[in-house]
Formats: sequence, C-alpha cells, structure tokens
Amino acid sequence: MSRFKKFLGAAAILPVALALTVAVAKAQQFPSKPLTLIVTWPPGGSTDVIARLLAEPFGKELGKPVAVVNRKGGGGSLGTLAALNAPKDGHTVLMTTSGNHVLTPLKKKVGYRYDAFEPIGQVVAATLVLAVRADSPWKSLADFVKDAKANPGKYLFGAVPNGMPHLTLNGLAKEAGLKIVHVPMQGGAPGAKALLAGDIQMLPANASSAASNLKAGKFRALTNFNANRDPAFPNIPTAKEQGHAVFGNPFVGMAIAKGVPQNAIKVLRAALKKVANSSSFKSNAVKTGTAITYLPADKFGAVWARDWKNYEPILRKK
Amino acid sequence: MELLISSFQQVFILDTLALIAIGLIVGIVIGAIPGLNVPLAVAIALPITFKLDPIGGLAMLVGIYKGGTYGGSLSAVLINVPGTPAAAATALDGAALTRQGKAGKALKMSLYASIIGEIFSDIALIVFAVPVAIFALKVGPPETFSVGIFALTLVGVLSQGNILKGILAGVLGLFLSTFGVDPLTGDFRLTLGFQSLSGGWSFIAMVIGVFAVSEALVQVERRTIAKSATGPVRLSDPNHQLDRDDWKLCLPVIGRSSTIGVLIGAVPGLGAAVSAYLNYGITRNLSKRPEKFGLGAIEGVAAAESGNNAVTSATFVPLLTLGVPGDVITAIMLGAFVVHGLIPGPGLFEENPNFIAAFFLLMVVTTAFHLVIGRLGMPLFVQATRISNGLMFPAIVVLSVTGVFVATNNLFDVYAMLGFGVLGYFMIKLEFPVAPLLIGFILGPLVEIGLRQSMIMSRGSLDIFVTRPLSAAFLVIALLTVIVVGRREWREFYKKE
Amino acid sequence: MGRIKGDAWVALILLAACAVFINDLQMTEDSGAFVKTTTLPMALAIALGILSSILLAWTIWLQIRRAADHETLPQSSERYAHLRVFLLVASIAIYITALPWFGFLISTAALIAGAAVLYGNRRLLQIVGAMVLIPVALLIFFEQYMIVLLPSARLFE
Repeated sequence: MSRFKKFLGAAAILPVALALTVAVAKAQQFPSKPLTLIVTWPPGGSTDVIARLLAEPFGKELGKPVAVVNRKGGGGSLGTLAALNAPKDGHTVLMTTSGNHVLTPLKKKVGYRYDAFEPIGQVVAATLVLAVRADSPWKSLADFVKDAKANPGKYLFGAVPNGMPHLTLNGLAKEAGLKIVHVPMQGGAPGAKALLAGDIQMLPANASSAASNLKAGKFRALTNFNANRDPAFPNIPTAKEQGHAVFGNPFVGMAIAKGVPQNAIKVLRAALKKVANSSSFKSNAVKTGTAITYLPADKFGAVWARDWKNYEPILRKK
Repeated sequence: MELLISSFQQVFILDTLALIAIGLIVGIVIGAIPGLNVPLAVAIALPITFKLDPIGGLAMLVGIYKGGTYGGSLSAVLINVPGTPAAAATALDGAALTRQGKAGKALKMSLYASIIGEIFSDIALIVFAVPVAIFALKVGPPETFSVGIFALTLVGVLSQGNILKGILAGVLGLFLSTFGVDPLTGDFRLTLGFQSLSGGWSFIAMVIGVFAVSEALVQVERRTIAKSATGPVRLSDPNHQLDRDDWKLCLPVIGRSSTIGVLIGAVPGLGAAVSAYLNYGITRNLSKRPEKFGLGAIEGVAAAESGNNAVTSATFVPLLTLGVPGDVITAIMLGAFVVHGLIPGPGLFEENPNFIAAFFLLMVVTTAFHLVIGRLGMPLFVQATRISNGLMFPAIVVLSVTGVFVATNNLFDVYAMLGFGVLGYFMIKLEFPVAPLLIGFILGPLVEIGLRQSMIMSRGSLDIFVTRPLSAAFLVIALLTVIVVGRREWREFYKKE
Repeated sequence: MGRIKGDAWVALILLAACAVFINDLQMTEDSGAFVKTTTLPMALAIALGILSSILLAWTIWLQIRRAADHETLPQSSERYAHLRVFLLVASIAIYITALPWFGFLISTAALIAGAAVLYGNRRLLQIVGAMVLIPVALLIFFEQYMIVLLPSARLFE
C-alpha cells in the first residue's frame, strides 16, 4: 500500500510542481503568455482567413504565439461576448467585423454595445459590389433602377440577413424607390451559386468573394458602394457617380474589452500598426482578394460610432 | 503534354510526397481518435500551409482530409466508437464483425471500399468536373429541400422493426437542429434563456456524446474487461481474410455507393455522414439478406465506407468550378487556395491550368499513398483490439471531453456532450435507433433553408417543388421509399400479431 | 417488462418537454416571409408531442396485454451496474467543472484514475502510467503543436 501511495504521490506532485514553476516564472511584462484571437465566424470564411494570416506575424511582433479561436453563433455575438467576458489582462483579442460589432447588437439584445470595446485598429474596409449575371439585360445601375422601378416585387436578390450587403442594397432600394425581394442566404458563396444558377437576379457582395466570377466574366458588377472607385476594380463605378449616394463598407479589425490595462492596449496597437502596414502581410492579403485598409485606433473607433449612428434607425425600427 | 510534365514535376518531388504522407498519417490518427475531429485538424494545419508552396500546402490538407475520413472507420470497427461522424454507419456492422473475431475482414473491406470510393471521386473530379458542376448548379433551394426529404425517408429504412421509435428519434433530431438561431433571419429561437444555446446545439458535442460517451456508459455498465483478442492478431488468419464470396457481395455495392457518394459530395451541404448512412440504407433495402445487417454484414461496411470516401474529392467539384465549398472541410481549404492567390471559381481553370493539373495529380497520388499506408498500418491498428476496456474507455472519455472543448472552446458544449451521452445511453438501452437522431440533426437546416428560400422564390406557392424536374424527381423517390418501407413494416407488424 | 416501462417514461418526458418548447415558441418573436421563424420548430414540436403520445398509448396497451408475463432480473449485479453508470456520469460532470479550477493535468489524471476503477481495471501500474502519460501527452500535443489552449492555461494565471 505504501508503494502505491508513493507512486500516487509522485504522479500527483509532478503536474503541481510544473504549475508552480510556471506561475513563478511568469513575468510582469505584457504579453506574458500566448494570446487568443477570437473570430466570431466559422473557419475558412473571409474573416477567418484574414485572422489566420494576421496571427503569425502579429504573434512574432508581440513575442508570444497567437491562437486563433473560432466562436461562431448568434450573428457573431457569442464570440464577442466571450471576448468581453475574458479576463481583462489583455491576452484575449477580438477580430471584429461590422456584422458582430455593430449590426447584430443593433438588431437584438445581445448584452453589449459597440462601445464596450476599445479599438486596436482596422485592417480591412471591404468593397461592396452589386453583381448580376453576365447575360443580364442590365448594363449599368441606371438600367437596373429603371427596370426595378417598373416592376416592383419582381426581382430577387440574395444576401445574409441584416449583413452589410443586405442593408446597403435596401438603402439603395429606399433611396431610389424600388421594391425588390430579399432571399436570405447563408453566406457569400451560396449567394454566388444562386446567382450563377439564375435563382436570384442580383447579388450584393464583398468584391473579394465575387472576384473570381467577375474576373472570369460570369458576373458583371453594376456598381460599388464606396466613396471612390476601388483600385483593384477600376472599371466599377461608384453608386455616387451614378447618382445614388449610397455607401456601405463592412470593416474587419481588432478590438479588446474595455478595462484592459492601458499599457497592454498600447503594445497591441503598436504591433497591429506595424503588421498591418508590412508589405508581406499586405501582399498576402491581396492574394486572398482582400485589400488592407489600415486605420489606427481612434479612427477605427470613429467608424464604429458612425456605423452605429447610420444603421440604428434602420435596424432598431425592425 | 507539357501540362502533364509540369504537374509531375510539382507533385513528384520529395517534399510534396512527404507532405502527402504526413497529412495522411496525421489525418488517419486524428480521424481514428474519437473526440478529435477532422475539420479542426484541417483548420489548425491551415496556417502552416500558408508558408508552403500551394501544391505542398494542399498536399498536406488533402492528406488530412482523405486520411481523416477513412480514419474514423478504424475506431468504428475496432471499438464501436466512430472516430468521425462519417464512420457512424460503418460501426453498425464493422463492430459486429470485430466481436465475431473478424476484425481483419472489416478493416480490409473498409480500406479497400474507401480507396475505390476515392478513385471514383477522383475520376469525377478530373474527368467530369464540368458536367458534375452543372448538376450541382441545378440543385437550388427546391432541390435541396426535396433531397433533404428523400434523405429523411432513410430514417424509416434505418429503423427496421422499430419504426415508431425511429421516427421519434428522427423528429427529435430535426427539432434539436432548430435550436439557437433561425438560419434565415438570424433571430434567436428556442434558446430557453441560455446565452450559450444561441448558437444551437454543437454538432460535435452531439456526435461525440451520442457515440463515444454513450458507448463508454454502456461499457461501464457491462464491465466486460475481456478483450476481443488475446495475443497478437495476425491478419493472415482465415478469420481476417476477405474471400471471393465477400468480394462478390461487395463489389456491386461499392460501385453503386461510390457513384451515389460522388453525387452527394458534389451537392454543397450534404456531406460524408449523410452519404454513408444513405448508401448503407439503400444497400440494406436492396439486399437479399437484410436481416443480417447490423450483425456483421460485410456489404454494410463496404457501402458505408465507399459512400463516405466517394464524397472527398467530389466536394472539390463545386469548390473549384463554382467557388462554392461542398462542406465544412473544403470551406476551410478554400482559405488555403485563396491565400496562395488561387481564387476558386470558373476563372481558376483558365488562369492556372498548371495548378489544376498538378492538383488533380495530387489527388490521385494521395489515393495511392492512402492505400499503401492504410494497408501497411493495418497489422498495427488491429492490435488495438487487445487493449482492455479498463484502459481504453477512460482514455476515450478524456479524449471526448478534450476534443469537444478544443473544437468549441466552450464548457457549456462539453456539458451538452455529456447530456447527449446520457441521451444516447438511454436510447441504446431502450432500443431507440440512434442514426435517425443524427440524420435529423444534419438534415434539419438543409430542409428548412430549402423550404423557406423556395417559398420566397415562388412567392408562397408550393408548385415550385414539383414544377422543377429535379426536385419533383427526388420527391417521387422519397414517396416510393416511404411506400416500400411502410408496406414492409406493416407486413412485419401483421406477422408478429 | 422493464423495457416497456422505460418507453412509457420516455414518452412522458418527451411530452413534458414538448409543452415547455411549445410554450417557448409561442413567446418568440416571429419574422420571415411565408414560412416564419417558429413555423418549422412548432410543427416539429407538435409532431414530437403526437408521436410521444402514440408511444405512450402503445406502451400502455402492450403492458395491459402482457400483464401476465413476469420477468425476474438478477437484482444485485444489476443494481451495481446502474450505480456505475451514474458514478461515471457524475465523475465526468465533476471533471468538466474542475477543469478551470484545477487545470487540465490534475483533473484529467483524477478522472483517469476514477474511471479506471469504475471499469474494473485493477492494474495499478497501468492506471498510474495512464494518469501521467495521457494528460501530459495531450497537453504537449495541443499546446505546442496545435497552439490550442486547454483549460490548464487558467491554472497559470
């Protein structure tokens, strides 16, 4: 029995000793352990790809590995709440997007507002386009508006419900006085498939997810919803140019819960600035079809406030 | 011709070949271990592949994918706990064969059926990519709904003799899939006030709970310390050999299941598990000896395994041709393509013929390696039947908890796994078939999304389901299945009373 | 006999659950075109209720018909068997709860020891070996190679 006890004693002490050693060795410096980067969307999606591209150089810059963790659900709210409720030591960072940060909390009670977080920096401001099939009779936004006005309720478009593309196209419809029918979709990819198959007639989408079909000539983009033409797609006019001042730019960036010590936030902001502006990261991202538009923390925070204000009347009313 | 040469150059270099082998081995191991799931392994391997050249990176991912889909069958056969959901149907007859001391037969057939299924899949991808893609395009919301309905009739097939309980389990599975978020509007429903339920029940928690944990509970009750085999297991033993009769039974089954599996793989959203169950059910329905299924019918193993592996390469068809991923794993691999500047979609074939050719060659070579590695590893795998339950199941419990936590990062889901384990345990004890629960859960979103999108498209008219030919066809098949199964059940019922 | 009774309990539990769910669904905000958010779940819940009722009726009918049959089950071994199942479920639940508090290594080792005993494993060496090797191996695998954080990370705060 005593031999057994000795064995058990040894086996039990080992992990405890290990734990104590590491605890003692923990420095006061930030970061002092691996970081968690929470992505509120499923793996493989555009946000996830950017997060994973970012994680490695970001971790190198900080000196500790960064683990990308997917926590999808609730329109992005589950992952956002996880980031909010994590210990406020600065080691849990949120990869945040317009969807989970602004649109979802506006639409329903999820337990947080956009200002529950401190911005670290924006990484992407995506271009939204309105795509139609190449054999569609509409060659320009004007064609589409005219036809849709004459035939209210006839045309179908696909979009993720209450995402930026959906709301932006609704904004256009309202501004131009159109009645178009929304077919809810599960994402950009099913939307593209539906457009190809002819099940829907229009698709508001991220330029990057429509890029392949655009380049192959299967789709035509009638307009984009930026302030200026996108350099990656110089042939696509903006809606403003064509007489409809409608804008929509989904963002992707980093945020962290309020209450984290300021020195940690400073370190994160500096690291993100460096990585987001590095040529290797930028070129990798472009390869994935996403252009990097870095905005420092204060400007990024302003984007949140602006979007919240713009979309509040639309979503709260529902 | 030069395409062929350049693709040979890209694939037959030591680095790439090594990556294929590593991917396969890692995939098989992760697939075989209950609790660890393949999509996670692929997601984690993804960033590593960013640094490799495109073919090299994809070599590893494809290896993990193919290996993982096969690997689940190893634990399904040897310990009656499927390592992946796709192997759940394999466990039905595979584990029975192991209990009869014929584990080698089951393992071999599982491997060979998987390989043949993969070959069909590779051919479909390489030769028939375009026609298959056109078929995939035709599957819009109404077709998705009808296919879902047809797949649901499987529930009836798989619950032979227990049809009421089977349907109950199926409806429960469907119902559970509606928890959390309305997939179309994003509204919360049935969260019962729990924040953690707002994502719905975790699929992996359900699968691992219902298969691994429930089995652990069943075993602790029985407390059979006895192992299936004492002493080294030799595959050359007659018990572990496949003979001509086995092959005569299985070859036609494999052919049919692989073809169906390819079509299922090409349709985004269905997946390997549905294919495995569907083919198992169809084979059982068409078999001359349906009563042997569940008791060690080797053709059941053949159907399930060729069915699920035939899905692997076929899921790349919608990905490469349309840019639409066929399942969770290809969705992750989409990231790998995209990072190397290869945007999947119609443009890919024209702009990057070299890459496409090399990729096709890669698929074929991976299948070949798979055969070799699987066969070489088999004498080792089969020794697992010598591990006593007293060691095996505590390990399985730990792996289940760890695996679910790693996949979901959420202790609530781990508790859910335990809950599902208890549910599965009671289902087994009370003779409720478990497969319909899983099938209902998988097909629920498909059916709902298909239904609702179709209704919007048709402005509220139900006609759309019958005016579109493909959709009508599936509904007719579904109806026929119901009639056939219904008649058979009625006859059995009458006989008993 | 036991099995028939089990079915009846299941049917009753399901019916109760259906009542809860249907109630919850009634209170849910509805949206969506043509087929609403709650349409399908409600239909399924009702179907579940109907099927459970059929099961209950069927079970009762069978019970009445077979009231003459007596099945005696060996009592003692069966009781311990059920206790083991309960203990295993409880152990796993405790394990999950303990993870953030005691960390991965210690909790896992404890569970392996407990579970092994429940499974009737008497080989001390094997148990202790597993208690050390399995948690450590898993920890190394996940934290180093896959850079995925296990609950033990909390231990090191």
